[in-house]
Amino acid sequence: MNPLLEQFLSEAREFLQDIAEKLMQLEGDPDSTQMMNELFRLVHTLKGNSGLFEFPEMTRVLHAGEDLLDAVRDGRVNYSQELADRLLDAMDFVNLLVDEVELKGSTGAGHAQNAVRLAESLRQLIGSAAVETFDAADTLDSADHKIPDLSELTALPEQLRMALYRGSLNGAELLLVEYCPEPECFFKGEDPFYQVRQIPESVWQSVQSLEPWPQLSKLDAYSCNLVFRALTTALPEELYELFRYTPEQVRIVPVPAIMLVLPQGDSNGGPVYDDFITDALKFLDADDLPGLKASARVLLAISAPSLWLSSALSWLLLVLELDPDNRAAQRTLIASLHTLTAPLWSTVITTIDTVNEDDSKPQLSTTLCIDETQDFDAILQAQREILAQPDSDLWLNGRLTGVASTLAACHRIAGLTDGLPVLSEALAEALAQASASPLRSWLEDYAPQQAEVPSAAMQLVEAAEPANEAVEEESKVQLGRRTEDIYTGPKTLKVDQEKIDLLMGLIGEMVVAKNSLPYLAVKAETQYGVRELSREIKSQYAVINRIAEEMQDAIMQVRMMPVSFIFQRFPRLVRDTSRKLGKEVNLFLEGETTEIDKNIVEALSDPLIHIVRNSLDHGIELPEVRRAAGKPEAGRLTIRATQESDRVYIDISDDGKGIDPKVIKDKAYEKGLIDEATLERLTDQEALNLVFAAGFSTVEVISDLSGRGVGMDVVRNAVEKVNGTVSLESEAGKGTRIRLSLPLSMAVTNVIIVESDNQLFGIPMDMVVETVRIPRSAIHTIKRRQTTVLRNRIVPLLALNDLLALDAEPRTNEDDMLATLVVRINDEHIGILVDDFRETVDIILKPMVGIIGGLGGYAGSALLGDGSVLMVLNPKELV
Amino acid sequence: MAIIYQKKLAVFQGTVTVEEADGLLEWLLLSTNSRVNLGECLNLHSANLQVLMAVKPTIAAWPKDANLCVWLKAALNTNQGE
Repeated sequence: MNPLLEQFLSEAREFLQDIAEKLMQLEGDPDSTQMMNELFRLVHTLKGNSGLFEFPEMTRVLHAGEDLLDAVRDGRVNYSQELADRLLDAMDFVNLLVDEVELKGSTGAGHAQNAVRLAESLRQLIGSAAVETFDAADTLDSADHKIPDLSELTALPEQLRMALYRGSLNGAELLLVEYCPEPECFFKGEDPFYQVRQIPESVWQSVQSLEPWPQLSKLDAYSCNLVFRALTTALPEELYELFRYTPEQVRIVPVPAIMLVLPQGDSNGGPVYDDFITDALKFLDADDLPGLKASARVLLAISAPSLWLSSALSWLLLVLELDPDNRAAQRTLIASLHTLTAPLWSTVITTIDTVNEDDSKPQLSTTLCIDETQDFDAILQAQREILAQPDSDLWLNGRLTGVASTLAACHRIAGLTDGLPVLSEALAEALAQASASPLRSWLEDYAPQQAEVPSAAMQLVEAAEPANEAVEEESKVQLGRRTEDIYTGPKTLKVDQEKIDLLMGLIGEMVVAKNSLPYLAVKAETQYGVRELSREIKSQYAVINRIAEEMQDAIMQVRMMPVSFIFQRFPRLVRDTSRKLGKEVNLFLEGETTEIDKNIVEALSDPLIHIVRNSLDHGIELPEVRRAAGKPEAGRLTIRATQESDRVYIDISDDGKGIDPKVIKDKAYEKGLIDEATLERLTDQEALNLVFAAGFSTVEVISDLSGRGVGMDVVRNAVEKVNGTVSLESEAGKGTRIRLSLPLSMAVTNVIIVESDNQLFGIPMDMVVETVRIPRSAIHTIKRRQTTVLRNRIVPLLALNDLLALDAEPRTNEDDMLATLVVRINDEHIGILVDDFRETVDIILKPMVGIIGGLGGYAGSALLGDGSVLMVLNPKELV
Repeated sequence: MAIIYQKKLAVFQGTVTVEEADGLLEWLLLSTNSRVNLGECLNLHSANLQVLMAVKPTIAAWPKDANLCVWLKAALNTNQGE
């Protein structure tokens, strides 16, 4: 799981919780505009965030929620209990998706239908426009639409249709996909044609215009006016997956096999066959299928194969063979011989049902299970309520049609088909009168309240109540629809940085306090002469020391952040900058998971940008120049982070033209940064270091990228502020490498304590190269400065007392040797003469504040274990 | 260029994107009896498809791509009767 997704999930949970909270608060105070705005903002943000990922279902539902809240905010819709319920439902759904994402990393396409339903239920509240679509969706499920008119299927070769019919009866279900893209879909980057071409195993395709084509001069090529249809034997899941992003524009319905039975051919002939029809119907009545088959075969044999009759007979034989019990179909097929037109199966199927059901006289309780009976009643009740509403509104027609479709569908499923023909009459009447009463009376006739059969079922239900409840409860848990059922708490905590800093400060003091134990041990031994106690204190100290260190580590971990946090902006920066400069650059990022203290990461971000810009601007050459120099046209810029013990190195290297030390020297001389003597004396590496000098810039022309003189010195200062160092290596023509060396953490500093003029001072260990004792005889005076030769290097010597303006000579030890602390400052070694060395300690460096804050030469102060204050020096400023 | 316009023939090549639709419509309206050659067409954006469906030019060659061909025939042939 990538970090972005992780963050999204943790935020999403927070958002969802906030949304739920706000909704609850709104219930108490529905008129609060501020709360509403807040709620809208939450949903809006969550939607936006979800859009970053491939969770179309989540985005869809949130989008609907956002629209609804927007409407409420604008006063177009009033806040209601119903609204809150639906929003909460929608949020539960989102929560469920979030859970799934956390578990599997993605959401399945299986939620698409639920998402559409929820989104519609939300949009339904918005107003009239939405009600229409809701009605459309409602009737979509009704029977009329379930069996589409597929007379165009005759376009399919008969052979293929027969094969499909055979396959379909053998369980290879045939599905009709109808995709009606919205007119603006091209502007959303959709290509419906491409989409439908991806339908697997499609056996039949049709593309038609939704509205008749307008005059060609008025044709708008960018307003989609297409309806795609296809028959496929693919699995519904595949299709849902394919149309995941536009489920509301797609209808996927199973096609009954019988729909394929469409005889075709030359209708030449006529009543000659009437004899056969009479005979065939007799055979059918007598259940004499073999007789019917034989007679059909005889007629088929004497008919020309191109005739409509032959086609119909072949179909009849096929139906007789594969679906021998489907009397109605057979009868219709025979009857069609009379009319010589293909049977209209969509109307026939209903009658088929009726014919079939007539034999068994089904009861509600036998066709439906107990749960379904309850649902059935609930649906009917809902329809009654809808019909009971006043007749005088705009949506009456839609409502009546919707109710009629629902009733028809329910009754058909329940096997109660007696009232269906009457129902359509009732609907027509109701529409004509613009009144709900015809439908109401139909309801009374065919589904009286508390009908005997349902009530019997109710008793059964009551008996089965407890078990039922358990099942319901379980299904709720599975859906995760109720937040109290499963509460998955957030795994990440958002903590104020100040709290972490406080913790860090406390652990620092703990480290200092623990440091006092060794003092105590010494005191116990020397002052009180209790050796045993001293030893015990020491062993206790070891334990506390270990725990304190682990604690420190743990807290430091909390503050650690991967450098990818600053690296992630570079691809864009490099791309934009190089494009602006007309250069080709490939950026390589390495070691992005390396972690550094948050403060350091933050402090680094600007210097790094500066370095990268410099590399792009001054380092990497234009493609032509590179080609001429025999390098690949695209330059290479590598940013690499590595960790070595307690330091992190960030290397920024390019394979550009490098830096010519001579140019630097001349430039520095020109600007008066160095004198002529220095100019002669400087080594190449030293010359390179001049780029870090303040006010240094090699480029004459100031571009908007770099060259403003705010140069590498700023970088160096920023890095040094977090106790880091910068070094630069470059080879003319080959490239440049800048290395930032940074401490892992700034919290604890390791210092060496030195003594000078009876005072104690601390010096940060990371600057110390070595501690040596130099005999006075080895000190030479060159140009009035004391120097010595150390490891074949001339090291200038400075007395700490002089630096601090203490009026005392450095003391020597018995052997007349001077304690010298060699420190590295800007890659130069300098010896600092002190009186004596003491131990090294971990301290929490507190920067100096107030009046002494402006004092140079000091890095800060720290508390020592024995309670005394240690001043920590900053040799860079001192020297 | 995904569509090469010759005097009386538009030759479709490779992927014909949504941007082509306007130009195609314009070209089809300007020239009568124009024909389109879809032989080398691999993918046709819906916008172009509906232009072809509305204008109904003569198809000089159907695409070699089987899937595209089947769909295009379904779209353009059924419509010719209207």
